[in-house]
Amino acid sequence: MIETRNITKVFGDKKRGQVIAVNNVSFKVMAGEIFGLLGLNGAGKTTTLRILAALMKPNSGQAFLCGIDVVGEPEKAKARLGFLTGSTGLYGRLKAREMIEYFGKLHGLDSKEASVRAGRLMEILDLSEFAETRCDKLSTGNKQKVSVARTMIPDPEVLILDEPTIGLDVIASRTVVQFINSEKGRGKAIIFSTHVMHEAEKLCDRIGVIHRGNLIAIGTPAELKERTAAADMDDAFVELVGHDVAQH
Amino acid sequence: MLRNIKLVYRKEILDIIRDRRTVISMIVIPILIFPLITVGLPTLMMSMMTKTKGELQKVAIVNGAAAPGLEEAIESSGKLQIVNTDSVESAILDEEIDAAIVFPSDLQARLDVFDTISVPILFDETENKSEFAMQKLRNVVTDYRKGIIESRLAVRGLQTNLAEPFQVEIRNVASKEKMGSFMVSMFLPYIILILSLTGAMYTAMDLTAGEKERGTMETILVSPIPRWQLATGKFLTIFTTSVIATMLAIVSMTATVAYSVSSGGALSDDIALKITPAAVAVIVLMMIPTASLFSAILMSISLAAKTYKEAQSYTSPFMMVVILPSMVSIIPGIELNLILSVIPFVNISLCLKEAILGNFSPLHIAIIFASTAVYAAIAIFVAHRLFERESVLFSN
Ligand SMILES: Nc1ncnc2c1ncn2[C@@H]1O[C@H](COP(=O)(O)OP(=O)(O)O)[C@@H](O)[C@H]1O
Ligand SMILES: [Mg+2]
Repeated sequence: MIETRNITKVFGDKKRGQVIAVNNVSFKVMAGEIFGLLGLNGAGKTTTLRILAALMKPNSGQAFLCGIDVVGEPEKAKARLGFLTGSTGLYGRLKAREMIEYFGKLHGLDSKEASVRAGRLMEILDLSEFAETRCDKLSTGNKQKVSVARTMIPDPEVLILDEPTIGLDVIASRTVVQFINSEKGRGKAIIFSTHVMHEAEKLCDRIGVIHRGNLIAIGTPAELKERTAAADMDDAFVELVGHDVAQH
Repeated sequence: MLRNIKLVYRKEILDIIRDRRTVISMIVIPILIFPLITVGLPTLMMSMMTKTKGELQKVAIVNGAAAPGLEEAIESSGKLQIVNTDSVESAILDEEIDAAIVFPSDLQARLDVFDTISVPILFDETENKSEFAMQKLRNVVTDYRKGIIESRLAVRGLQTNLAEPFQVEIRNVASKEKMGSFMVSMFLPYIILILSLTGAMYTAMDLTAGEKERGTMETILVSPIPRWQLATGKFLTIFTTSVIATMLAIVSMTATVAYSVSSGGALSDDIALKITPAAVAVIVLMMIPTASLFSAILMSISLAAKTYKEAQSYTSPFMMVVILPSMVSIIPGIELNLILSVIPFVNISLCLKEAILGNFSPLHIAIIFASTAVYAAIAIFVAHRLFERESVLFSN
């Protein structure tokens, strides 16, 4: 459902010169599977996910969503995609309902269908009483719920979530985690990135460890722990990326 | 395709009309600015002038006793009060008095030998009040001088007219309307261009850099509509606010003119407002490509910025690039020619000026319209290309 084949992304940076943000990364995520991309800040998680979401083009390699080449047919690929990150914002001057419906319509729903689906999503997410509230007036938790609703309104087959719980309090993170689990139950292919080890361990069927742009290990949490003879994911991660870098 | 552009456009319009900054720059200022500067400002200035003129001004007369009857004449003029001071110059500068007139102490003796006597009037040109006092003093002294001439002629049994072979009278043959058009033609092009620019500016910054700052750019870019359609929807929104600002200004201008015509047509004794429908038509025609050009340039500039603030610092230099050429309408004596017709902003400013004055050259109008449309097309193309660039949309 989600696949990258040897993707590489190089940025020209004024200070650092050429930065290889993603280096020859390949992986596959099946339907009904949660794949975690685990790495330190700057490891290349966001860049990988942005390439998958057709926001950026790789310098080389290919990426596919539901078998559709994201570089060749970005709109078609994005039609299957729900994309949510810690930094994707809401239109503050739109009401919650308007925001959700807008994204439904951008995905080709007609007004009636968009309004029905938005209503149902707001009910599930306990947002109904805020339907007519402007997004910038919502609490952080409710904002994240609106983001979840706008991601889900097209009922996408693939979900790409880049540190979706970053900056959220416990309650708001829980909303997101519950939503990830329930979507997995509905057969979605989910990839999500984090630098929080226990979150990855709890949620993911498989984990890919990315370090300085390289995918250095891939496997179930149990496999990774076994391979490194570590007691928990934290230790396994440190073992994999090497003690030197893990210290900072 | 059209559905998507319309969808984006409608959302953006809804979004920006909920923003106070846009509403002020797009609706409030364009409606108010014309009546304010054509009726409000002159009325205010006039009333201030009349007030100062009507005020009692203090003057000093040095050696007033040497000119018998002058003090009485000054006092009976009603609007001047005589004050005694020693050093008139510093008294004027300290604003203790407004003006002073200095007679020589041997005035009478020199008058008797028909000497031509120099009589300085001292005033401070930087003070309105002082200038009025000077004028009043001059009038009184001129009358006084006339009195002396008349008595000299009378002594010799000659007619008063002898010393006045003719009187010069200056008459302005330009009608009040022509005077009005002249004034309006200098400032209106400039005002309309600036309003069109500021009308587009806030929207352009909000829809590009503002979106990046708030994190909605990424949100919208993952939706499955092609980027160029998104860019087009945004461009059209910016264009709309610019056009609305301009059209409201034109409507407000026309209404002000109509009002001033219905109330006698005169802004003052010698100026009346008049703008022909043909001039309005040319203004409307020209502002369409101009608004496109502004919108596309502002969109491109703001796209390069990461935050709203940064966008503001990028767009201010561009404002100067527009303001200076637009001011060409204020410079007297510059007329349209083929070269000026293809210089951006200068051409529009002059074209609007000529239209208001009632000069229409179809050739110039066609060239200006076409060249501006070409520049706009290039700017729109650049804006769309920028919208495809990763480094512009995602800066680290
Ligand atoms: N738009 C960009 N321009 C230049 N360099 C970038 C850009 N985006 C990311 N990078 C660089 O690429 C590397 C990987 O970044 P990123 O993918 O954001 O990592 P992560 O999401 O794992 O923290 C970092 O060194 C980062 O500085
Ligand atoms: Mg990241």
